Amino acid sequence: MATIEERLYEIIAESLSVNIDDIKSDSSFIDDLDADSLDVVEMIMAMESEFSTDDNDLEISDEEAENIVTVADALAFLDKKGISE
Amino acid sequence: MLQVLYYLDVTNDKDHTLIGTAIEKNSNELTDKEIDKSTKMGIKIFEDKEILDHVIQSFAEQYPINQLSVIDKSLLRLAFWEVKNNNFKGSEKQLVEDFEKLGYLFGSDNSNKFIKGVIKSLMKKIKKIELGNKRKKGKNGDN
Repeated sequence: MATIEERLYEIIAESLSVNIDDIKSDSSFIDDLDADSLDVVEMIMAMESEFSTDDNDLEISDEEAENIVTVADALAFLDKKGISE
Repeated sequence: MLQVLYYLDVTNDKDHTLIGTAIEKNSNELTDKEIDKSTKMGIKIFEDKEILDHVIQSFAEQYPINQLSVIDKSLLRLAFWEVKNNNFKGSEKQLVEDFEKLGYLFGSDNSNKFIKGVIKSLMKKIKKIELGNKRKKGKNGDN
């Protein structure tokens, strides 16, 4: 089964149309992966959908989205939300 | 442009063979160059409709996209595309006002309020994302 990190990388690659090998932990979505703001919105939506479960509906507020700037931020956010393998 | 998006949504003109004629017939005030430009851009926007609709839906959760009127849908696609491509002139406030006005002129009774609400929600989220990015860059001393 894929790890949280692997699932997240898949989402990023698909939402931002980038090669998965180009995604690094410290990559900024906008500055390093050339995403526009709407791409980031789409990626956040994909995260909500991927990491929601029957018991736990993951919703990322605007304030939380503000703090998700890099891949590491996204992973830290998921960890903080208690999302684990 | 709105005409192009409307046309593409209600017809099955996949090869876009008739679009030029359809727009020309209804656009006495536009030059051939303007018609050509609008048509090309409209087709481009329509090609992105899957992504645009997906994002629009998340900001209009109570209104399934396939139940929206063609005008509302087309206006939102156009607005979201402009935001995505940073294509709008003027401020974000101006963008919201412009589309609210278009909703008022071409939509049904509450189109303007609905369109305004959806675009405002999108801009709020985008502002937060951009602010976060800016702040992080500042912290890292990039700028």
